Amino acid sequence: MINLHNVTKTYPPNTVAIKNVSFEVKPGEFVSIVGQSGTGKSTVMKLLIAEELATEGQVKIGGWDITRIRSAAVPALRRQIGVVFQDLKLLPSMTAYENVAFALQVVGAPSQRISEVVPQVLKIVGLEDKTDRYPIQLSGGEAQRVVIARALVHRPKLFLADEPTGNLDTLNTREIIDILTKINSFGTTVVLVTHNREVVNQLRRRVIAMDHGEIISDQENGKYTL
Amino acid sequence: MFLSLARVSKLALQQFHRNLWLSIATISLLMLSLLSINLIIVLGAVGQAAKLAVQDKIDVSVYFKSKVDNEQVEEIRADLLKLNEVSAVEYIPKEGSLARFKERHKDDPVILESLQELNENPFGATLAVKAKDSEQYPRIIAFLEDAKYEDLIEEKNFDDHEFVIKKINALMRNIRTFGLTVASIFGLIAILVVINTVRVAVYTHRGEIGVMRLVGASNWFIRGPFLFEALIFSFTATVLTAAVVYLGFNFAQPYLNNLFEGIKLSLTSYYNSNAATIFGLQFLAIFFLTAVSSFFAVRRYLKV
Ligand SMILES: Nc1ncnc2c1ncn2[C@@H]1O[C@H](COP(=O)(O)OP(=O)(O)OP(=O)(O)O)[C@@H](O)[C@H]1O
Ligand SMILES: [Mg+2]
Repeated sequence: MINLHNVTKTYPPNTVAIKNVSFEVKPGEFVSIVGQSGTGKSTVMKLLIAEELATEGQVKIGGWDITRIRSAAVPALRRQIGVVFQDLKLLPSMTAYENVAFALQVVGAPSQRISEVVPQVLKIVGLEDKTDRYPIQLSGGEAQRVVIARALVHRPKLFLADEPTGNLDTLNTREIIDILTKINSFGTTVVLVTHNREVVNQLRRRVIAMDHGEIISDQENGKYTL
Repeated sequence: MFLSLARVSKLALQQFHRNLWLSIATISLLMLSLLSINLIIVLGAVGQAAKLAVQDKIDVSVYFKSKVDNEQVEEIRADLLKLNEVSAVEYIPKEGSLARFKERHKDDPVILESLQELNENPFGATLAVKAKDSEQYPRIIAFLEDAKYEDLIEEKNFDDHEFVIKKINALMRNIRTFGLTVASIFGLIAILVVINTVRVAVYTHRGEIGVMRLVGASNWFIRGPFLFEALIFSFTATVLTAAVVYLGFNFAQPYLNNLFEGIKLSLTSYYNSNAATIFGLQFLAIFFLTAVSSFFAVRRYLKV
């Protein structure tokens, strides 16, 4: 599903965010990426959705070489990937339902499909009874679940979550992780970036640890070892 | 396709509305540039009318010596009419010249009396030559300067009017240069304001845009609202400009009616017969301007 080969990313003028990173993720895997702040975890995620392009090396998604992807092809790539990013919040002027629907509207989905898919994904995250609430009327955990629902509208084969539990307490964190596990159980490949030791240890899935832009360990049934 | 268009226009209207003051400022500046262009057009029309009014009065008057008889003059008239440059030649026979003179000096008994004392008509015939174009008079004069006419012609006059036409032409050139300068300055400011408006719109919609980018909305869908907004700006500015222009005509028309004797200049009907071209072109120009500025501003601030 994901194939990085000797990837280096240098931000202009000379910040080397990741160096010589190679790893492969098979379809259906659940991988956590852990590491100190500033070690390039988000950079890896951005390379996977072509938000940034690799300076060296090769990036492949589902066999598609996106290393030098044309900007016109980027939307097609992103319609196959569900993304939850730190800085991508809900739109405050829209209800939970509208926020999710918006993601479908802007890709030209027909209204009928929207009214079909939106309740489905809101149900997956367990918010079918709060669809008319505005973000301000939702708890942090609920809001984050709406964000996840929004990332699911394209039925992605690949789901990327960059610190989805950022500011959440233990209970809410559990809920979010449970949802990610559920998504993974549908067959979707999940890549999770997290700082949270408990999360990683409870998941008992593959863990890639990074430090200073390099992979320092990559283990099945990994533990948080930093 | 239609669905996306509806959604894009909805986003654009929202965008317009959210930055209402900036939108109004943008439209005002676009209007100012359009108004200065219309001012050039109007002044051009007025100048053209003034030129016609003067041109209509111009002719080369050729006064023949009294010894020249009417038949000879008729022949010269026929020669003149063969010239390409000449549009009409009015022929005033000896008797007519006398009558004209008397008419012109009817309030001056001294002159009339001295005329009485002469036994014969002291005037020769007169030809009033009109050219097709004011610039062709020098050639007509040159034709009359020919040696074979020298003995026959008492006097020919012309100068004054040419001077006036030259003045009008120069004035019109100046007005046009000035107007174009003003219009370009406003246009330039308008471009900067459009770029800034887009920047603010990108900023106030960074949430929506961020979502659009990450869920894979096409670049054209992301750009759509900005292009549509440019369309709203241009259309509104053109319509409002047209309204202001016509309103202005209503005020100006009474003055214009008395401006040139003989020439009726109706700006309203001038505009009416050219409205589609005038405002259509202005709309296209300003839409092109705003759309291109918006295109580059979006690219600059959005990475799309
Ligand atoms: N757009 C950018 N321009 C320049 N430098 C950048 C940019 N984005 C990230 N960096 C730098 O690249 C390095 C890696 O950043 P990255 O965001 O990938 O780290 P991270 O592991 O996600 O950190 P965190 O855990 O704090 O989110 C950092 O040194 C950062 O300052
Ligand atoms: Mg990060």
